[in-house]
Amino acid sequence: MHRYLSTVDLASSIAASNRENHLEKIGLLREIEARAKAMSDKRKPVFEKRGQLSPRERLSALLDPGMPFLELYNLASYLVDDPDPDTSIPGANVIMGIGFVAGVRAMIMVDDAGISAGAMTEKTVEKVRGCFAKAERLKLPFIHCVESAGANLMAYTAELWAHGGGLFAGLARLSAAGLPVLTILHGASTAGGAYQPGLSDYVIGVKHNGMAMLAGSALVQAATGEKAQDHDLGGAEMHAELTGLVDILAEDDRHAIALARDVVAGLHWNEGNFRSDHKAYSPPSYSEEELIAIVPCAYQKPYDVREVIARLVDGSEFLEFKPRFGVSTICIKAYVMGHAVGIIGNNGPIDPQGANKVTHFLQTLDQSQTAAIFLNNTTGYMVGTASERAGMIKHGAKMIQTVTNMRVPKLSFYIGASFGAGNYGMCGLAFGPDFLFTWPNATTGVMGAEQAAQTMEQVARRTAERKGVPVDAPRLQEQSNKLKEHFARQADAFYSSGRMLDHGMIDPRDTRRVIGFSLDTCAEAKMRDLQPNAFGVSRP
Amino acid sequence: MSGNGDLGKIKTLLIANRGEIAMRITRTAQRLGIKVIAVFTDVEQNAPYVRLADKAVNIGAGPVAESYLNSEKLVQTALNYGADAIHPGYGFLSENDAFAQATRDAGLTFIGPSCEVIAKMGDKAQAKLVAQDAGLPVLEGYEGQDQSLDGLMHAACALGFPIMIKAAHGGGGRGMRIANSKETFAQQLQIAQQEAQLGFGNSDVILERYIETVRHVEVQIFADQFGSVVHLGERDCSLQRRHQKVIEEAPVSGLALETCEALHTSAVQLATAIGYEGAGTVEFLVTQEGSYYFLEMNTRLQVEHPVSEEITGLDFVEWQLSIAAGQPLPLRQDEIAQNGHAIEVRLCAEEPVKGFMPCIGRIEHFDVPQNIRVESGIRAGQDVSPFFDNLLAKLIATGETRDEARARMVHALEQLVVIGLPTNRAFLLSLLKSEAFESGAVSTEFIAQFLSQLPNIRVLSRSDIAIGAYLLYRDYMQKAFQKSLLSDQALLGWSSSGSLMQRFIFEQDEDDVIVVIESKAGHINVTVDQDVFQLEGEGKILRLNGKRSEVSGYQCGADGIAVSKPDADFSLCLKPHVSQGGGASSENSLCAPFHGAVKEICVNVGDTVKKGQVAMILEAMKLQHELVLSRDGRVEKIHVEEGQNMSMGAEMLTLAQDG
Repeated sequence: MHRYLSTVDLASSIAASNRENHLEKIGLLREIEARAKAMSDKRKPVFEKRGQLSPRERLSALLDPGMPFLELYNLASYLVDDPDPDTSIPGANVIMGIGFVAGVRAMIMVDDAGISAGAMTEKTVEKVRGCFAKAERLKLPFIHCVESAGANLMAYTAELWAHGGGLFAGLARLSAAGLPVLTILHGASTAGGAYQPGLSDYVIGVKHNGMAMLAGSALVQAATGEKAQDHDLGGAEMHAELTGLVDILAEDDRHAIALARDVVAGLHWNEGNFRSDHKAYSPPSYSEEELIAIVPCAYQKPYDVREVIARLVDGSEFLEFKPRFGVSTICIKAYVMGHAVGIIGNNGPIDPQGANKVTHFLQTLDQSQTAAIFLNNTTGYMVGTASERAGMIKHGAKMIQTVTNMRVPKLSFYIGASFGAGNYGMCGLAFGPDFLFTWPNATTGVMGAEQAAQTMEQVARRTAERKGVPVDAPRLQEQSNKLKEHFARQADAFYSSGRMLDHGMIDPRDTRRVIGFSLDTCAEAKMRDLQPNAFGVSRP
Repeated sequence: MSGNGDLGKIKTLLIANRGEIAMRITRTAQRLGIKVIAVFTDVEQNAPYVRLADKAVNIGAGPVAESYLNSEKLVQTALNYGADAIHPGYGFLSENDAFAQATRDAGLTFIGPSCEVIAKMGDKAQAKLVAQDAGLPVLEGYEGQDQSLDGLMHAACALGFPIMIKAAHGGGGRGMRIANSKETFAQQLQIAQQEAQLGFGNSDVILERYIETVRHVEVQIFADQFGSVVHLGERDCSLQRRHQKVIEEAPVSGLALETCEALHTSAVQLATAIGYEGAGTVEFLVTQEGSYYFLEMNTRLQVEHPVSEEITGLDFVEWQLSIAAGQPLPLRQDEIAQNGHAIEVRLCAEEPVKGFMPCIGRIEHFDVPQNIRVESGIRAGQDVSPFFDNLLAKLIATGETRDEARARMVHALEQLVVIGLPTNRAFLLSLLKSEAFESGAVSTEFIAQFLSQLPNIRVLSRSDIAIGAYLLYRDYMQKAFQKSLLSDQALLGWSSSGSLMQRFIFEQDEDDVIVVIESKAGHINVTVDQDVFQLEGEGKILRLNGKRSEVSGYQCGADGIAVSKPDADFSLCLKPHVSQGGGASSENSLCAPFHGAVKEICVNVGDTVKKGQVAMILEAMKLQHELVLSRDGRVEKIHVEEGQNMSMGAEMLTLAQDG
């Protein structure tokens, strides 16, 4: 291990402009996030009038003071329901993330009832299912603050209904896996939503406001003609006394959350488990602030990924693996917040030597049970005669096989470009990364927009040549522009993050903390033994 | 002088007392090679004096009538455990001639004067006559046998109002009341008589002309069995609340030398005249003009004796034991020198702004300052019970000059930390720092005047709220971290979404104070109302908006935080998640403000009552407290009976909604 000596000129105009570009994008991220809060907060007077806390107040009351929180899918739904970048609201009407409740690391879900009464959007089901999967894999109890209008009938799609079953199945799976599921019924939970408490192991219902019913009074009247009151159909008091759906009745939101914290404390979840021996470490010698001065926002501009790694790892110290072999692919052993890691970075396309190097490196990580971190900045596997003749396909395939099937925690970050099969080899979405976060400057897709346009142009020219017809240059140009625009729009990090092609977008300067938190979560999961059962916990 | 040779007669000493004075006596006795037997009650099992003693004997339940006032039990205990002497300390049976007699009848040495002297001086009426006979000036008053209301009222009218009513056998401020007018005389008399009966077993009172703006100066004397008497200087004990001393100093400042000498001479004169023996204190009232009047004589060691010890360099307990052992006075008058200045403060569990209401509770933290004499009988983790006096500790600062002693005391009080229950620490500090105290212009009226001039010290500043909230946040964060399996503290306060929010709702004098704490980019901002404070810092050294701000101690719990800052002690109570059933005092009900026993119910069901009228008298810590009604109305229901023990907050009386 040796300390990396940075050679970047942080006083240069390039560094300044990099920084400026990043800050603009980070500003955009925070601005878009703030939109959801602002939208939700508009309803605050209504919550106050009903004696309720707002969704974000519920979240902060639920979480342990000052304990870290890793939000997941923060941009979900951005540009999906509303394609206008200036008005689109991110989050899919639900706040989710990993946080601590009474000292227990848990998956938290808070319905953002301030936006469309917490109704599900197109991406809500996918977001929740993504978090269910994470909770199961990382052995996290699940805590849900429920107040949701359920599905928006005006935006009904058959797919949403069919996949929506996953919200039921997910809870049942968690319970059976030995993971406690807790629901706080703050407000109405109708139809599909009513099964959220139904499928939970613990339910705390808030007097007057908490409600769970298969059909509200409007639907009941339409279906059977019965004139019923919502409160009689599914009030928390009724459920506490008659159906047993509510286990503990709370006076108000604050009380309910205090009770929920008591219930979680009563899980004695951490008993018999021990905090992993924390190795003393030094922070990086170079400030995380410098990351945004080093990495250009345009992926075409080169930089040395070691400069990034030096700002992520303990003491800026690392050991490089095969530095003189497959030199554009970087493999490094280091520590992040005391956790041993292997880091794979790109200083260009992955060539056959590079693919072989990564394969070898990953297999050693798997052997020594060391987490792998992929810092994506690659335009893909190397093409061309030399590369093909050197066996790029089979070497790339080996790398993909290893990435797919390795058994250690995998963390992936889109820090620049991530194109084509290079994305696959660098542990893209489909390769089961435990955590996958995007920097606001990232560009992803099958290939770059420019490259796609040029490829199509080449194809068109060859076709014309083969047919012996002249090339319609203006038409080709128009087609090329269209294609570029089509690719560029979808390659943008905000677009892909809105479509949940990652687990969330982060400030690049938070990367080290995200790694530390993620690895800590994986380590805790590995240590924890669950007591699974066959069918989950049933209510009376 | 030292060595046990002088004290051959006393080998084992039973201390018929508790708390700091038991500690004080034990230390000297043990230094002199005397074994100490402590007595304690069920509520004091682990008190420091109990641990310090060579032997400790449980003498029963908490109430003093069953323990520290049970003469027979104490003497029997002394006999059972082989004591050859009893030291009574102060208070309790220290001035009870029957106890002294019983002790001596049992063949034991009583550390104190003869029973006749105790009896004579313990009866204020008689003492006054004795003093007058010895040539001391006394205040005009009534010391007659007729204790009927009519007789006393007649005497009072003859003397004129305001008038001082005093328990004839009392001391320590109990059974002492001022009646400002004829109209209030009967009521005040009744309270004084009841307190006298309860505290001293005799309800007789004397009346005295009440003179305002006077100083309370006392002279320490010692006398041996051979008729020698010396004085060890005087003490100023003018700073009193509820007629109980809170700050004492020696020597007295700003008094003419001739006056001081006259006081010394008078004190020695009285002691000689009555054939005194042991430690005693002669108390005087001194007017602004320098005339003085004999007040009373205390035939025991005073609470405030350390200030005289400090300036004479002597150990008064050692002198007491030596004299009781039949030794002559260790020093002649001309061998006794006085140097420097000493100030003592009495740290009490009480709330100055609530009429010095005594408080009970558990002492969570008790950090005493270094480099200052502390006479304390408490330790952290101990409960302050309602059965005893609320004195927690005495701090004694000494200096070459009064200013030096005062500065030391200020510094010590700033460092002192008591957490768990309210104390008068900050109040003492503001007294000591006041210009009036600094100038030495003190009188018995001083505290009342001082209190009326204090700005509203109950209103907590927003910056203090922010500091308390920050400390609580930090504590909860640490506790959560300890409970969690998170491996790295470096992640505390961080969220990937930019900031972490925490909301505390505190109940402050029935108002809700919402405090929002935001952790953002490594900074913590605390918002109280509209004011935002940036806070940082570990341990007790904080920075508030970049400015250093120190706390001396704090204690966090599930229900909030108690903070001790050099200039203030305060608590922030988190609003309960569910409103507590009953308890809260509303307009329509009168609730017990603290634990205590109902001494008297002054109204009847159906009575039409007025705002400010006394409805109940509640007795706690041996003092009676009048509970007054907060509005006019009609009494609908009385929930208690006389003698009933009340918990704090329990409803005692209900006024009709309509009335």
